[in-house]
Amino acid sequence: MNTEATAVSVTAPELALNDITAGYFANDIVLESVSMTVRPGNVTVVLGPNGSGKSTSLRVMSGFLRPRTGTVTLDGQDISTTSPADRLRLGIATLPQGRSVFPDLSVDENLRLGAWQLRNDKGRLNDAVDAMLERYPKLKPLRTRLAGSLSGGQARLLEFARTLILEPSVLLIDEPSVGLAPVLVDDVYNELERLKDEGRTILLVDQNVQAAIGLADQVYTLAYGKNHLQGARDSFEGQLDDLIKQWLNL
Amino acid sequence: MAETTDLDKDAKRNSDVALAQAKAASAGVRKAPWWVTPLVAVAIFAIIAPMGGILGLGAVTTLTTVLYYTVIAQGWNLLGGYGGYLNFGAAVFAGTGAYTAAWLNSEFEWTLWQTLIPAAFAAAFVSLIVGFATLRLRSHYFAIFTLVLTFLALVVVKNWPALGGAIGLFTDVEGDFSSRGLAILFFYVLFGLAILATVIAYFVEHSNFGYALRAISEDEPAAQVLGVKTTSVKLRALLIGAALGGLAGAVYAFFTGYIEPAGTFSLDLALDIVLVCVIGGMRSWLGPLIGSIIVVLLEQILRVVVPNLHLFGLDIPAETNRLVLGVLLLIFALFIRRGVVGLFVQRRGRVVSV
Amino acid sequence: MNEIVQSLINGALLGGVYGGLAMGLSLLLGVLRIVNLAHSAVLIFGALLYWQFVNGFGLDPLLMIAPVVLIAYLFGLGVHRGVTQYLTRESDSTVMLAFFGLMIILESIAIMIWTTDTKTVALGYLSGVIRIGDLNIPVSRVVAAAITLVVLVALHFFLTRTLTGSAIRGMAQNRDVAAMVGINVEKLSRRVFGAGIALAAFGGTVLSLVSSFSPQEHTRWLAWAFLVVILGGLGSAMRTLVAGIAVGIFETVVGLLIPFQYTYLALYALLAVALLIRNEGLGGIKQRTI
Repeated sequence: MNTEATAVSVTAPELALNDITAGYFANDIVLESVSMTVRPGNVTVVLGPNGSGKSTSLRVMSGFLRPRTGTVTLDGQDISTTSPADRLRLGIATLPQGRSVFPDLSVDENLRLGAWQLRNDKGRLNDAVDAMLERYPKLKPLRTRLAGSLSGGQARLLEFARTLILEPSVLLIDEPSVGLAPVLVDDVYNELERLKDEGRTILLVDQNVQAAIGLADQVYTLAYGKNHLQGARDSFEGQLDDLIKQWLNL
Repeated sequence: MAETTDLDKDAKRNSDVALAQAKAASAGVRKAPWWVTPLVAVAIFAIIAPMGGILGLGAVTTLTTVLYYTVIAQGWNLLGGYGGYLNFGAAVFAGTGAYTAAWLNSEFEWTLWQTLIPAAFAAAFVSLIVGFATLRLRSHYFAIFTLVLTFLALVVVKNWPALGGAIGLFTDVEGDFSSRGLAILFFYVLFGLAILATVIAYFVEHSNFGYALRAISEDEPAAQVLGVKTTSVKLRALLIGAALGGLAGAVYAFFTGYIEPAGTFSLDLALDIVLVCVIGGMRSWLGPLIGSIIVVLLEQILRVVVPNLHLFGLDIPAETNRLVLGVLLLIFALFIRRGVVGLFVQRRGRVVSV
Repeated sequence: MNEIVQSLINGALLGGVYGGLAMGLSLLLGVLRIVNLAHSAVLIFGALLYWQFVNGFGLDPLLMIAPVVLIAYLFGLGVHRGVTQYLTRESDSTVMLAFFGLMIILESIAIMIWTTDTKTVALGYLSGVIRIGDLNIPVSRVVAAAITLVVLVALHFFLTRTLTGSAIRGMAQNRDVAAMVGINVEKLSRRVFGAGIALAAFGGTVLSLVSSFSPQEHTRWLAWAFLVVILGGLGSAMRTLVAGIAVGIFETVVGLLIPFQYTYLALYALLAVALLIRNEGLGGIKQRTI
């Protein structure tokens, strides 16, 4: 892992789903022949109505769900059977949906667990924690607080910090604004904007179509667990209303 | 913007998808017709019915044990099988029934018939106390509490002079019976109780009460949200089960003629009853019936075979029986969770795939 | 007066041991949500093994605790590999059935090897009594309580002050997120499971220093451990220690007031009351983790 590689990312790898079929139980298939590519330095947004398989695609990328058929590749290398921990080591970090802090651990402990992979190198671990506290100064005074006692916005900041602490080369972000108060939603998109400006490689799954398209370089839409549309952001501008209406009718 | 065009789907991948879909479609739809289970139960009882008169004394006694287990296990299975609240203290309820009956008999000379109802009530009363203390909490607490309760019952009864202390109580059936006549009497009393218990289990399984129990075992908080009064449902199931256990225990006290604390309140009965339900199938009213037959036969075989085994010239200790039963329980818990009945009558269910 | 002081001291020392008795159960329930019904069977197995080393082979009582705990740890790793890891996604009742089976297996093997006789460990140089005024304090109790104290305090610091401790607590709170930050939850679970089994056996060794024991009646110690866990909550070493001491003092004080055989009734009554008061409903374990 390269902790210094904050800025980017021509060197960042390309993560791709190739023809993925996947599901949780024997008698259902959530994704059917889904393909998508997360290009280096781009923000790739996945849109679609509820139940279209957006979050499932992300789970396949992060390694929490094994595809039945098809492959997940990182720069062409097949990582379909690589464990989530090993994918993290390869630089693929996930920010899951909903509240994901460890509630009965302090903010500090939460951050340190984010840097779990540096556990044998105390110096680097401390540096990484300090770097995140620099990046998110609001967390500094909260270090000893239990994460469960944080407000929604503070917890989200902590989650961002914990996800970024290893300076991952690809960020998988699942519905970052779900469940937050409207005031805080703007903060989240400002943070995502900052990540984009830093040139990070991001896969963003979102229901907030307008805001997500605003960030996007590439857009994929899913319907019924299959690829529907794909293309650069420009080609979607102006068609959003149609798209949303179409989903409501699906 | 481009519609995702057909990528060249090669034949192999297509067949993989097809296979996955076929697997998905076939998972758990195999189901025997509804009349199969009742037919099997009726057939079993019809075959057993005349046996009391036909078979020799030893075989009748074995079958009586099968029926004894059936009564207790059907009662146990209401909360343990449908509700998912495992009770490792089966001996406490059966023992309460046994001691109530033996005490009424030895102290006041009540007959077998007179002691049945008080025994059921006494067991139900004990179950109420246990239920009140534990059933509002998660099943963990209930399981551990019932497991450690057997030891308390043992200590209490041992130190209770009116119940014969460590020595125990004798029972006496009124009237002149030959030993064969007695065996036949107990056989048919327990035969009747086994049918009663099985019918109760059948009706519970097909009632709203049964659905509520199953909902509790699937997802208790959700059942609560949906308006199931979970604590009361669990308490009722425990109560009925305990009463059945008490009835069986009362008959057992007369059947053996003598009861003492260590034998009455031992974990062996809990093990046997759990095994009966697990091997038979905890999700069906037929399970305890079939399980009883299998477990009793198995124990008979072990009792005959084990002492005659000589491994490397060593005698095999009697505890080998229990060791085998423990291993069996582990195997069923790990691999055959639906029991024997589940192998034939498979319900549609969510099957997790790899 | 002296009698009361004496029994308070006895109770506190005994209670320290009770804390050790319960820690393994508490850890497995708190971190892995496993109800180890075989806890007391492991405990008695540990005690018997210890008895074998000390009485049978004449080895040093203080030095033999570590080997027993190590053997139990390895055994725990084996059980996790062979049994527990297949149960992580199964219902609670399946897990309990499996552990009940394990309990029966361990108990049967213990009786096959060591019979049902009641055993007492030969204390050797630990068999003295410390006299302070009128007070008599058995050395073995002091030693057993002190060892337990050291182990539980060390465990407390491990769980609260180290990164691995944070990881264990984090895994208890949210297993999925723990995996997401790169913790190998399977491996960590296996080690925690091994530690839970090792702690159970450790409880057996310190118990055998203060009490005689028999392989059949091990569930009485499960009752004790369970009571301590209910009073002390899950997974916290310090609270378990305090709850253990409370139970120990309760037991000896009650023993002063009523005949010996009824102390069981009092303790079970306390257990029932504790369960009744602990009326936090079904979410209980989830809310109050370590």
